[in-house]
Amino acid sequence: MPIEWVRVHDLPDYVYFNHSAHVSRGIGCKSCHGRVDKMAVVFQVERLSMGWCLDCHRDPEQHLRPRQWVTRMDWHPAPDEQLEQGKQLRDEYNINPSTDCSTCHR
Amino acid sequence: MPPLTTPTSGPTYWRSLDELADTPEFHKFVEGEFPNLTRQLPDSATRRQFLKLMGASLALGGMTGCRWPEEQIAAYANRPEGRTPGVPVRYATAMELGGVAAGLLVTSYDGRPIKIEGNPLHPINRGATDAFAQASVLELYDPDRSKSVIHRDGSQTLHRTWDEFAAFARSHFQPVRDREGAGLYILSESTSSPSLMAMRARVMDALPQAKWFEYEPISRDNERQGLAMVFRRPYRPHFALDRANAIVCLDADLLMNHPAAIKHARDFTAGRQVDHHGERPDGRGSMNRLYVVESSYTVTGGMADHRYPVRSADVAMIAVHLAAELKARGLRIPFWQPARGSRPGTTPGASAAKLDGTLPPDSLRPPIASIADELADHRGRCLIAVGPRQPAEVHALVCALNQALANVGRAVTYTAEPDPDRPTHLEAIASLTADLEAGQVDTVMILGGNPVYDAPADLEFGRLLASAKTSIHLGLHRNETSRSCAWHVPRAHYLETWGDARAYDGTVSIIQPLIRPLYEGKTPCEMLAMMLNEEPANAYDIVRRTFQQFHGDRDFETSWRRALHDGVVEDTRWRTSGPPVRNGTWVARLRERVKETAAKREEMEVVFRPDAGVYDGRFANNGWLQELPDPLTKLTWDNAALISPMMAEALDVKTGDMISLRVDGRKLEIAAYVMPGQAPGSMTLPLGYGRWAAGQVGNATGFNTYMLRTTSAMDFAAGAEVTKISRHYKLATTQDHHAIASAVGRRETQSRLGTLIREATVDDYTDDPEFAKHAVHHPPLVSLWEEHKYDRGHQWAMAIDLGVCTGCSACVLACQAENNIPVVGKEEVSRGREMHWIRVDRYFKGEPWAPQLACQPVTCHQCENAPCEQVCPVAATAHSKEGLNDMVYNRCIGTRYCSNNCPYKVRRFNWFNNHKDLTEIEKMIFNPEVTVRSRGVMEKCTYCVQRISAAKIAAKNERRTIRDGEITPACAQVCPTRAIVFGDLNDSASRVAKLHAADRAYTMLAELNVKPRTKYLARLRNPAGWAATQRESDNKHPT
Repeated sequence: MPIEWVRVHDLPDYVYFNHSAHVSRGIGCKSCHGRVDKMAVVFQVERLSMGWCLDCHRDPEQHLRPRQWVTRMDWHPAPDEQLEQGKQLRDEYNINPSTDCSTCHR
Repeated sequence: MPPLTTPTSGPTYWRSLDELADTPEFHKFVEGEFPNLTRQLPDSATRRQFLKLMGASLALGGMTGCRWPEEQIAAYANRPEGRTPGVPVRYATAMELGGVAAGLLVTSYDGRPIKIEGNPLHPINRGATDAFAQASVLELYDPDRSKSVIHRDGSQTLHRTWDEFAAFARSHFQPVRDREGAGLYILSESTSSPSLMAMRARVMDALPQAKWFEYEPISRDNERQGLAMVFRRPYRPHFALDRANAIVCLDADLLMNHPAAIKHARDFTAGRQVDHHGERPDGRGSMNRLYVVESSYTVTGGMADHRYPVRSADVAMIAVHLAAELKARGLRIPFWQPARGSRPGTTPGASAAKLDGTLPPDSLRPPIASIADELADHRGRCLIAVGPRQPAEVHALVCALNQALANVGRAVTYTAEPDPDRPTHLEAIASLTADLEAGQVDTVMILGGNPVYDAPADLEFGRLLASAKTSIHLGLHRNETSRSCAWHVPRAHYLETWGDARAYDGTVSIIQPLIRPLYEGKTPCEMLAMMLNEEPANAYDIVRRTFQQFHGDRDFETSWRRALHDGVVEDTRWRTSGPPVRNGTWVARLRERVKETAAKREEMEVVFRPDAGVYDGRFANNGWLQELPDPLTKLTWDNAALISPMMAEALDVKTGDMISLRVDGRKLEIAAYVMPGQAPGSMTLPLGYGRWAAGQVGNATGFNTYMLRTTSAMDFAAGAEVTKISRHYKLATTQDHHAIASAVGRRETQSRLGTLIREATVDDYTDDPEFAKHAVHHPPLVSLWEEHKYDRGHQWAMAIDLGVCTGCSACVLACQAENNIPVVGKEEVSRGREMHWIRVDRYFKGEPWAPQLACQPVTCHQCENAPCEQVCPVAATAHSKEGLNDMVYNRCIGTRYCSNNCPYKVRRFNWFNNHKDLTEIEKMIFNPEVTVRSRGVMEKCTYCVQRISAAKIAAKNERRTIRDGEITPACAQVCPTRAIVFGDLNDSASRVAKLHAADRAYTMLAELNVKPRTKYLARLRNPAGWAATQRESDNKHPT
């Protein structure tokens, strides 16, 4: 008998999200899922709304981290350095998130 | 309808006879972009009431929370190696139809096969497929498939388990084996499976008294018999259309209705590509020229440079006449002597004229002479093909002609037919029926097929089947035959089980399953193993046992894995051989045949042909194929008797009127369809409809034309009597749907259509390579708004080459499968509400008795200045930076303004929730990458944006740019002729950028300044030099 898991981070059926596109570009697990390592029972931290997605697509600098640290739950930039480092990473990784409708809706 | 005999000053291009004659029905139909809508809207008072209620229910609904239901997921306990949930995988497999395999590549999502593509490594498919293969995945998930063993015991019908059947089989077949199979009859479908052949040998070995028959209602036995007459052994012809500069098709639909049609189509288009000097890039000279002689319009006829509508019975006479003309040009035709009275050395045409009683009508004699000239000029670089419905003697003559023209070994090759000693399908079913009648049949095992429905009517197979003591039927559905058998066993679909099959050229493919059998179906091999009570008993082991003969010196496992991976088994193609013509017995028989048919020249003939959708009837329960508009008639959900405009006039019949047919004492009432270009005196009856046990989808659609098909008239029959009956039948055609030129006036229609679809002769093209761009003159295009610049990043675009599009419509089904497009049913289609995102417009040009045909696939053009976007009140359709016209379903409120404002009429509206009430099995077919749309939203072609996204993400993950050709929309991928090309306009090296810049490229409705991203390449025709003078007389009414 398989164990049935409850899908906590459940997007509507008309939204398409690709993990590899985010993970390989330096978006950490924590940015969307929160500190799962500290949750007794997993719950949703972020809103996962369209506005929330777009905030990051418009200003990815706020959330980028070096690729090798995407799975590190306790990673955080040195104080006041996120924006600076984010801009650098954005250039380095050539990150231009699309805000076209068909990026997520198709 | 006004009489068609009066010369019309009407449009040069037209879609239907109604349009040509400009009837009120046509006007009524095209008013409004969704025809027939107006009378369905509630009147204004109820409409207000309705809106009030809607507002109230929305407010109530809003309070109950916005969260969708909680979803449960079951994770893998042990994840299979290399499998990531949600990431599709592709496996090579093959589908057998009529004894010929198609090599396929099937996409599977989390264990569900959802999309079929052609296998690029397969020599026939080369990455493309036909419509049947596309739709076969729907067949897998058909809820009407038989789900359990069924036993008819007296008046009872009982569901049995597989174990119960096995117990029955053990006790039943023991005595059969003891008496060496006496009284055992096995009726199989036509098959090329090496495993099934091997099983047959084992059966005949163990049970020498048993009898094995094969029957297929659509067969190429005439061809086989004809070549057996010539070579003393059956052979199979293969055509290399790219090596022929002159191609003559005698009632042969090489580009569509042929087991190697996909290869033919690709090869044919190689000869249609010329530069502005008229030269082919492959160095084989100028553009090929295609002559087609046929009774009813086919896809091949549509591509013809010269097409002659004649009765199918008269094709033999034309072949004879062509032979005489060729002989008069000094060709040595083996065994072929001029008829009595003619002397050698006379001028061309004179000896032909002496052929007793075989003279073709005056109008056809000059063209035949010209064809003979053309062939004689292209010795070794031409080919003549005959269709499968022509009698064996005609095949023999044409075989001799190809040899005389030195084409053998070049454009025409032969391979020895497998299983040379088998009786013809007709002989087989006749012998079985005779033995049934004689009471000699103890047990009959029917492995697939549906002979109760599709055997020749005069055999009365269905009635006589009851005289077998035990009858067992293996089938995907509990069809007509199953219902007459004592036992029915569910058959495994090819996507569910192991097997093997050979392509038309002999290449072996392993059929590997994509999913476990949904209903414990079995294969024919497994049934036979059970009957013999032998091991191995399962399909996998049986196929692997057969594979022993293919792996040669190499290690078994390595070659097995290689064969599974590639989808083809190396070195299994049959060797071609070109034996000389050895026998001339066919000559006398051909003369006899021609004399016979000449005597019946004035009689009306009926011609049977497989349907473009349901084939021989086996796909009748497939909604995709039922709703696929026929490439020529654009009929959906029905078949109809295709009659010529002249006959329609003589009988006073319009499309949809019922007629009564009487052939050889058998009667059929059927709806008529007036088909332009249909040969006078010939009526075409597509097979495969009128089934009574097909399932919920296929029952009671169309008319059962098998009722007129008898052992003496499997292909065509003369002497048909036709009378009109005063009843009308509603036929759902899509030919006037989404008419771009709405009825704003006839003059307007005429002036526009010629600019939508542009074409020229090769000569005109070499004179003016930019003719297509000059077809429309418009003032300088200035936008009201500041225009966006699309000069950065990817800019997606499409080019469609009308010169090579055959109109086969495989793209329509590929799109349907890829994009979760619903089937809406006959009623909705007749209201103009079919949902296909790509449609293939079909236009006729010229006079109705011998028109030319032109096809034009139309999808969303992704306009840069998209008119649809400007009118959407909620921004549900908006432009992406890459030039795509995005459609956001969750925003759409269904005003349909966008569709109203679309000049190309490519938007489709969901009038209903077409996916409601689907079973869990049916839902398995959905492509998870595409939203399943609900009621009240608009949808349209997206250029397969899900495939674009997938390729972009993959490329970026690998930190590289996207390669040209890496993204292929479903329509382009399936296209046998590669008429559709997709790519990035900003990459000047991409194929699409080159095609957009090509001289033949033009924009449809450029004058609207909508700046579409789809461009068409104008079609080129290659009429012979004499045609200019001939055209006048072609257009004269034949009476």
